[in-house]
Amino acid sequence: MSAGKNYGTVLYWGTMLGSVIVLLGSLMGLMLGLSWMPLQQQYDLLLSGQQLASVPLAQWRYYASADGVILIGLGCAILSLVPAILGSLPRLWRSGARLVAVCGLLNAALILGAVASAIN
Amino acid sequence: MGVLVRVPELTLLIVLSLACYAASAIFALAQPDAAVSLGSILTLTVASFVLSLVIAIVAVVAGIGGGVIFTPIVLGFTSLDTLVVRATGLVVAMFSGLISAAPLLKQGLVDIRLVYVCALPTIIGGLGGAVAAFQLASIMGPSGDALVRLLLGLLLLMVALIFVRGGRRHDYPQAKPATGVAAILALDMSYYEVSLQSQVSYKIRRLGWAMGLFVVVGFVGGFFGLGGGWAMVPVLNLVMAVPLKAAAASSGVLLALGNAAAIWPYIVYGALVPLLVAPWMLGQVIGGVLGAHLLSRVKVAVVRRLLIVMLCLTAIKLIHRGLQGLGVAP
Repeated sequence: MSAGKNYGTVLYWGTMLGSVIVLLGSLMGLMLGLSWMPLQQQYDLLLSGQQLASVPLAQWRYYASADGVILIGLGCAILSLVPAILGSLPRLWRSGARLVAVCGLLNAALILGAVASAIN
Repeated sequence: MGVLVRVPELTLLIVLSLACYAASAIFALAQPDAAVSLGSILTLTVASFVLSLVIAIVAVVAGIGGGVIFTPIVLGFTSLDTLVVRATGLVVAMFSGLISAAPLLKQGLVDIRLVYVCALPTIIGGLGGAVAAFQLASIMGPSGDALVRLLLGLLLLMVALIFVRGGRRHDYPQAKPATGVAAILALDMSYYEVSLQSQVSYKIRRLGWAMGLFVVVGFVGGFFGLGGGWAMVPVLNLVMAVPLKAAAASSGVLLALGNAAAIWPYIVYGALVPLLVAPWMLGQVIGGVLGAHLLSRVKVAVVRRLLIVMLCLTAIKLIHRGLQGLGVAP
């Protein structure tokens, strides 16, 4: 399998998995009302042009709510980019495209850096 | 319908999405005191899902990111906070690109080496744009929102102009020897062109200039929540001499990677609202796959003309709202 196909396959299934998790979170919020902030209150604030409070990314309790589960799904899809990139690098390196492989590694590092700074 | 048979996981995702919304509707009907009032939030959620599906199909067919359709329309016609709209716009922009990467890379239309090299400046620019968006909001408050609407309106007029001048693009740019950074990286590429029944070879050119332009494209995309697909195709095609078809395909894959870092500052500041974003994300994933399969059957020129008209009308509305917010217009 070429580096590109490897990258695409990991990304495709990561996004599919993320979508199913997002659906599960939607069901928790819409049907069971397990949202972090009452749903009606969220929409009242949003429709009146206001923002919600910052997301408590470092609080584990948040991830048991519908909002947290949806965020896990989004994160799963977006962060599948990192294993997708890392999985493709050995082939790129062996094929002689070493500078491109370094660019790929820097891309993955930047994404992880953005996530780390978000959690902190 | 053939796509549903060929891609069973897509069928499963569509069925699960419909079942989720149907179950929520039945639950809300059965329990008047349920968490969701059927008349408002659920309707809004289902409408967002359907609209996102349509936007994804149009965006893939027209060869742009969905953010450039979503963000201006919602900013122009609703009173949602601009940062919330821009965060959702980034999700809309990147998810059809995430899901369509696999088929495009498999077909050989996209070269992963090109994506990795161009993504680096786009990610840096996108992060800068996202951080700048919050700086502006904290410094200027509501006038910052008005200024964003005004600037976005002006930017949209420019995007429409790029689409109007789209006919000047080069389907198969002449392959000339690479110089500078491009020569060091030796980015010689090719793909199989079905319509020509032959392999099309191309060499990347002016990579240094293109890297600078990708920083700007990333910044604008991250700041306005537009993604940046509308500008990536011209840079790839006109500056880097990538054949048009490969440029259009690469821009989606590049967009997904380029925005992956810019979304996180929006999440931290609470501008990304998970339950609001969920239907938009699901619509993009399903629409992205459907759009990729519809691409060969739809008249792209008709879609692009409709898009130009829509962009111009939205731009006028945004400029008017921006001027109103700044107290310049009645």
